[in-house]
Amino acid sequence: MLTVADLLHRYAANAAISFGSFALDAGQAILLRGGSGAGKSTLLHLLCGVLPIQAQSGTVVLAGQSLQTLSRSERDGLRPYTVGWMPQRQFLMTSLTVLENVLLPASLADHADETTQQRAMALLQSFAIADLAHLRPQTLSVGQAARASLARALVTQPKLLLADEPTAALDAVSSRLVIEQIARYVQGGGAAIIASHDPAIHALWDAVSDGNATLAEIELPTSGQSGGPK
Amino acid sequence: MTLKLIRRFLADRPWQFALAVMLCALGMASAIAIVWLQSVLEQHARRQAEGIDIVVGAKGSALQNVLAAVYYLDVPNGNISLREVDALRANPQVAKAIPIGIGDSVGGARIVGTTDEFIPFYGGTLASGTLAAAPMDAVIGASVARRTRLKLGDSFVGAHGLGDTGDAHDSYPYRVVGILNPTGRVIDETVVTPLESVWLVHEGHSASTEPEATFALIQAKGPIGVATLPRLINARPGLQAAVPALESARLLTSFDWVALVVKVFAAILVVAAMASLLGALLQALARREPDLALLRAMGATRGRLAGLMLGESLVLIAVAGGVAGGLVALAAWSFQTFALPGVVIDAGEGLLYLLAGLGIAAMLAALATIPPLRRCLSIDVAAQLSSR
Repeated sequence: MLTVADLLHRYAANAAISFGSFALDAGQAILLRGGSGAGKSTLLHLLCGVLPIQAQSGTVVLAGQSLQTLSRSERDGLRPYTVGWMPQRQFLMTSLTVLENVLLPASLADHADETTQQRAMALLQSFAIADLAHLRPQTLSVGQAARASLARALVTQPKLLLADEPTAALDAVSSRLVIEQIARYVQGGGAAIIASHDPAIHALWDAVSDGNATLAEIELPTSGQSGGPK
Repeated sequence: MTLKLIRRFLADRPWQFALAVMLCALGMASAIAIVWLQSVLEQHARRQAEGIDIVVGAKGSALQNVLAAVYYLDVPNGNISLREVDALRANPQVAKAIPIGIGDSVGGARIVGTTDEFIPFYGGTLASGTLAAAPMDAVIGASVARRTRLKLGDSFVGAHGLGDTGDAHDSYPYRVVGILNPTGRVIDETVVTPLESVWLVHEGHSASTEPEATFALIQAKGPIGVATLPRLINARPGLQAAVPALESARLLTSFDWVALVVKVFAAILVVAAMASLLGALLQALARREPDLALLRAMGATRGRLAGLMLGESLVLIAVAGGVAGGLVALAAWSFQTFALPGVVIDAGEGLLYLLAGLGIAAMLAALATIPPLRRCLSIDVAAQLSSR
């Protein structure tokens, strides 16, 4: 589903982050680790098409498409059906209700049909925030907002979920709910990359997945060295 | 989705939206009203002189004769002999020669002594009552009736001159026998009476022993008459011919710079309105950058973001246009009611001015959207969604 080979990102004339090589199939998940500035978010931005893959900087093949050959609009087209993105800032648009926020990726693709709306409500139900569906996000707690943000990333049933620090600033209950939903998505045949420096994630994953989904780990070095699955 | 987002974005900051709308609307309305009402005024001035090819008056300033005889805005140079008017009427090049005697007024409206030809010449028709049949009978114009509240059968006396401060001719009351329908011409602001009434009121005021008029309004039979009659008239002792079209054009030409200043002022107002729109858009964009980055992250194309920005400014312009339309209509109504009663205002023409104004504003709004749009399209999505 995802193959990354010798991926490198130059962010200045003499500075680059190397992400090495790894692969991810449907039904698998990777936990991306590394200190601040290691490039966790950058890798996710490269994989979801927000950042371009520079020339002679390795190859990334996602769902059969070679990302380095895609134009900007083709990279934009990866979202939201190939890649679902839960950004580090888990903010929601205050102009829209929680349900409208969850439906946003589908609405932008003009696919917010009845089925998608039912799926969105089902997601909110499983995230225990269905009763907040028609409220504006200002009334949500950080944990509720994170759950809504994850629901938004999953509503289009993407092939690959990219979650950037999904448990940051969450309480234990919300963290468990979020990781549980990601694990359930992976068990359902999705693939996920979680970028996080939350030390509790692995234990949480094991607890909620009952060993039915594995979570590989990639440790990104803080500078210049290749990473790779452990 | 784009429309929904535009609606929500605008609804989320109603006061800023209302302020931007009001600034745009005031700028647009002022510019449109200035240009339109200037055109209305010019048309009004031309309309008053319609059908009058030549004004014959006493020797003096031709422009003064036109202002006094056509617009009732100035005092006459003197009187002319009625015999001369009759002689002119007999000229084969003359279609009509209508003598008028002016000098007095009531409630600011000119009392015009004249013949039966005068009212039909201006297209006047009776709303009620009859035409004047005897000296001191008065037929009043529609605006005079509305302003002075004179009714059929009422009596009034004229005052000397155009203001209400002149000496009143108390011994010679007029009686209202007819009220005219509105025409949009100077007759609306006029009291029409037989020429004999003026002679009666001013008996003993003139040195002349023969019947006199103040002016004769001449309609020529054709362009040759318009070209040849002034020379013929000016050759007569005591007579002066003035061509209203020429005098008005001369007057308007000398005020060309005023028209230019007005248009420049209107352009400045439109530019100021668009500058306020640009400011509002940039301010909105600055506040909304994270939202726009999120939209990009969720799959919105750059085209959709451009549509959002453009749509927002066009909605703003459309609402401002509606408000501006209301303000322009109010200005036109005020102009017609208070400033120049009886002026004919063509609402269709006003609508055209409004649409033209809106078109220009929409184009300028699209231009004003370019800087925020460029900024919007270059938003660093990754940075916006990663930074805390």
